[in-house]
Amino acid sequence: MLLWQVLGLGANKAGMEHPIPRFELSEHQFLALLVRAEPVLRGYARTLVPDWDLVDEAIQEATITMWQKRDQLESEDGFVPWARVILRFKCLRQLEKLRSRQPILSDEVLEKLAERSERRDPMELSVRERAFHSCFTQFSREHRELLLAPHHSLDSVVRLAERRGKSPNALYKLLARLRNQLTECVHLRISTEAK
Amino acid sequence: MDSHELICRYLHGVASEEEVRELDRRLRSDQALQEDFLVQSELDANLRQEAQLGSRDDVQQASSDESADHWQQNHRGRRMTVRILLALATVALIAVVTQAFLLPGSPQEIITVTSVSGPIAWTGDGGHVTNAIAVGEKLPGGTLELLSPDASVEFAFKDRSALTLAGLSAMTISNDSLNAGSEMQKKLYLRHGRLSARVQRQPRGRPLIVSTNTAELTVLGTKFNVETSPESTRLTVKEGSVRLKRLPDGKEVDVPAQQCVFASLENQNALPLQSLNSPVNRWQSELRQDVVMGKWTSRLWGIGVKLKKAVASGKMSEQEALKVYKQTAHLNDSAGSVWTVSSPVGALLVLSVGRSQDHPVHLQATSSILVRGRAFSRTPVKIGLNVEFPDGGFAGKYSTTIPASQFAVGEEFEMELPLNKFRDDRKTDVSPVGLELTDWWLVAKSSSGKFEITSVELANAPLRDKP
Repeated sequence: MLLWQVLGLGANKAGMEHPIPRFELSEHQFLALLVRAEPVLRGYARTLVPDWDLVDEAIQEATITMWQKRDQLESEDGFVPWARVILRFKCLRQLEKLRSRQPILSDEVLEKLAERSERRDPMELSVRERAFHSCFTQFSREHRELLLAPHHSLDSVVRLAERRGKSPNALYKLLARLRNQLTECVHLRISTEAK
Repeated sequence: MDSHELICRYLHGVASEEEVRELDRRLRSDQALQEDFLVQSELDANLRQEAQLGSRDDVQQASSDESADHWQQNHRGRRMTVRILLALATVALIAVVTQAFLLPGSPQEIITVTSVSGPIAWTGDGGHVTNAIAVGEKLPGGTLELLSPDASVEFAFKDRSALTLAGLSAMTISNDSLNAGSEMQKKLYLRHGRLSARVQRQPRGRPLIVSTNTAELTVLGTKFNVETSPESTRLTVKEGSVRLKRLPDGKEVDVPAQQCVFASLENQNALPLQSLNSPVNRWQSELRQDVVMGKWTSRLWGIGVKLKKAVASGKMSEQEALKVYKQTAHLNDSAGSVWTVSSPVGALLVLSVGRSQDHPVHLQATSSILVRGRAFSRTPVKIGLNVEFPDGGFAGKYSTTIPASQFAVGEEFEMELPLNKFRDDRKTDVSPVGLELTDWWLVAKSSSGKFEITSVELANAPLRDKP
């Protein structure tokens, strides 16, 4: 069975087929909700699509659809789950494009990740985002440069390796270690704040 | 390899097929690993945002005398700026969407977009630029620019005249009107690229006008294709007739159905009509002539560079080098290669089939594309074909992706790509068999990708099956 069938897209999930509009959403309100939810949606799309260009395309397309279908939204609280359903569909379309270009995870695993991601609390994610920024600044300049390198261009890690006289593979290993340290730092900071 | 590293490699798009299979296997049952995958994806999203904020500059600033506190303060300010920019961008998007879908037709609207594919920029009134062009959108006068060889946009006027821009093209739609009644005269300026049109009969005295750098076309109602570069215009008429005026000298010719004409700045003597020849199913690129986007270098130039290096390194005297160069100079300098050029959408190379081939080139089920060249970077490459219907009109763009693993830096490559490997993203089940090949193109995903192409060929049977 295809992922979109498993996920129930196109069916009556999230009230998409027969919505009962309960409140009007002005442009300003829509904008505010979208800006607030954007980091959560970006992380969610990233879980499904391992290519940032396609993530951006999915988010752009989803934003237009959200605006067109905003009368289906029943409350502000429902914005993130509703937006995720629309975004999931757009991500699946982008995945079809990617499938011919590079190996990607199976539909079954992507479905599990999507479901798990949908259960996450958006508030928890924003706490995590704040913790990330505190931790990121603690890294040295060189390490921050490496952490950001994959997000500048596809081959920037390779170029960085050339500049530093190391092999790309060694740098990818270091990158994985740095990300691990960053993750640990985020965990630690969140648990300290909770206390 | 540990699971964490596998996740990183997957998210960065560098995991091999085997690694992805292994990660998939581990993720199926390991819930902790699934959680880790989500955390890593979120971390990646944060890092991406950090990179987009220009943290590199900040990193450099931080390395200077600035205190970490100051850096953080500055950074928070920038974050806020980006938030505001995001909001403004969204407002702009909403305005576009509102105009496109909610407001009743305004008298300024000239065309309706019927299909969009690939990166496109629209410059409207007041120089407002947007990349968010959607199907169904109604646009006033402005400029459409296609930013990649695999981009296309189809649009229609109110009278259902349908036009397609394909490949690297730019066209301005004029807001000018003759104010004759309610119907405007359609005026287009094709700056560069390829336009296919199916034009309904136009009102008396108000033909559709297509201007290029070198020619002006007057269209009453017909099917035609026009391809233009800064120096030349090629018009092919499939149905009806089109009048072409060569701009430098004002010379005019009526081009009837199944004829074509070529107007260039170089040759100003005559404007001979050519019959559309019977189709062929083979094509061998003449790189120097065919290149639309890419850097042509002659073999002679390459030899010159090698000789200079040999002299510089002391392997050859200057006299010996000059002797070799003079001997080589007798050779035909049409031999050479084309190199990809950088663009915002990647490294590009585009060849136009019609520039060196007088006959229409039709694709067959047994057709194969043979590409030879040399890779100077290891990056995935998309190779594509733009095609038209034999009776006129844009038919689509078909492409296939070659993974980075197929290339070795500095090494020559030779690829044979059967036609059934090529797919149209929009119509995955439609085959290009029977369609006319107009362009061949290559896009390397990274703009720093560097490829030298020495030959492109369309053969009519799998080349490797030849005895």
